[in-house]
Amino acid sequence: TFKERGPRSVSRKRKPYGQNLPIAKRTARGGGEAVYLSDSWTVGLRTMERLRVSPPTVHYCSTRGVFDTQFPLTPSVNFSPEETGDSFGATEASSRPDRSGRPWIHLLPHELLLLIFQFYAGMHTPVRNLVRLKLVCKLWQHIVEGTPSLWCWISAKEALPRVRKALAMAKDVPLEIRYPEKGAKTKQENFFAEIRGSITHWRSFVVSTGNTDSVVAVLRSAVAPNIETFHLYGSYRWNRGPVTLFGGEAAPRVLTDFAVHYIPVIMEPLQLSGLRSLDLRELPIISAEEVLRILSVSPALEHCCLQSLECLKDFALPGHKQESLTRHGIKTSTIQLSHLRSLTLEPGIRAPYHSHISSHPGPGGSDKQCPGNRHYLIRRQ
Amino acid sequence: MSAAPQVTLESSDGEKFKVDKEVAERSVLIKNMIEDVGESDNPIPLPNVNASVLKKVLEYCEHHRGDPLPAADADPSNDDNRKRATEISDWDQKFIQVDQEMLFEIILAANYMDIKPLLDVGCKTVANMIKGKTPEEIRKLFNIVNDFTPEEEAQIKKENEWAEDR
Repeated sequence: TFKERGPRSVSRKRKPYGQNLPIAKRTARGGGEAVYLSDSWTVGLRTMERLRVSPPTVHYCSTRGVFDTQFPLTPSVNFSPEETGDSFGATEASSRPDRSGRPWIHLLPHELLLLIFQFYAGMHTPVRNLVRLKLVCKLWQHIVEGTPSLWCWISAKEALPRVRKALAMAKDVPLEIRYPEKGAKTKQENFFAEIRGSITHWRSFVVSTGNTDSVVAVLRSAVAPNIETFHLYGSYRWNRGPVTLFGGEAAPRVLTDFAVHYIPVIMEPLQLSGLRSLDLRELPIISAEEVLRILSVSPALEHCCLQSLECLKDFALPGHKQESLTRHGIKTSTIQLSHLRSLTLEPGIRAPYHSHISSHPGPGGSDKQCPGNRHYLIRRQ
Repeated sequence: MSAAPQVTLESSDGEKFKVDKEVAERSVLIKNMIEDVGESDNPIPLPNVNASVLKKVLEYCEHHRGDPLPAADADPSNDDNRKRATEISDWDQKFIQVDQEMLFEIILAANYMDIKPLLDVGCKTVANMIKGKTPEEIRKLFNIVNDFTPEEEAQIKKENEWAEDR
């Protein structure tokens, strides 16, 4: 059987994939000599084979919870020498199986195979990728068909039948919606008509579009309560009016990554807060006050890009220090962004007299783009 | 100036590696062990990692010794973001250019020692190897035997004709 279960609390110390027993403990014995009890290590099928035990039920953490699996042992593999002739890629010089006749890749616990499949599924054409994996062998077919979270990528780089297939296979897992700037194989109106019904499952939404009518229609009328990443990229050719997002309501509290380019979204109702990434470019209508409000209520912000915003054209970045501003009687306020790792404020921000963005390395260390103790001043002229 | 604290790791085949504690602690397993039992002069045994693989893993840890540690498991969104990113840095790409046996041994060791970034590099590398290949090419790449009967294979292909580009 292979089933997914709902979210469950995760222990602080992660258990490596394929290891369902506790981390080895070290106990002291006479004279303070330490002994490691390593009888609990079970890593990979090879180890299991050595121990001559059946594969255990494995508990592992995946994108949204803990999954239990109990796979049958890898199907018996009859090593045939004639299959070793051809090679592909750089790492195939020793792609021959190990002594037990099992291919190297099948020495991995199934959870690691699944992790590989997850990375692979996220590439370019997810559904076609997954279908190809299904055709490799019965084990891979079993994993691919039994893992709804592998089918979470809903991409317009694929034709409509594949989009439908992914939606059907993904069931109710969080979805990653993608509409690329180039190379879409599904018309935008068809794509959004198809995915509209799953909006409550959208986790990320990354859409590039010159014609946003069908996108706007969906966003204007519906809330996406579980959306964490929202990127809406237009172009300078945009000539429609302001756009309402999330049915005109506040953005979901789980939204932490927000980017809009060129499309004049109405920001105020969104009440954005708690962001980790903010990227606003070429927006004609957002107010400076709203930008500063978002920054002030997003103390965990890591990436901030404010480029070519009309409302910030009267701002600048001189080298003044806050003290000198105070000495001249100019009132300043500070927005402390202690986790900031990258900051882009240009062009057109010229003469700030309003706020002071200070950045210093967070607990994780410094960042090349935003070195420690550098202070950025934004003041109104 | 006092020298950086060091720990000794012992591979499955008995070889000992003395490394800076900071380097060894890229492994969450070792970090937790040291936290649990305190520092000691006794070697830390790694019974599932042989010397050649451990040497390679420590080379990775040494290069990345100053990197920010990945977020704790308590934040599932970080785990998701990690799975959405498929790029591998130039140094890591060069580091992981090894034969299949070593590649999968590194993946197993990274999993066992709980070095998430290295586990990701290994798994992304395998994903990149699969990229663009037909099922038959994937089988040849990894020496996987086609265990479908001709009838099953024909049936699956027929069912999935829609998925291939035309």
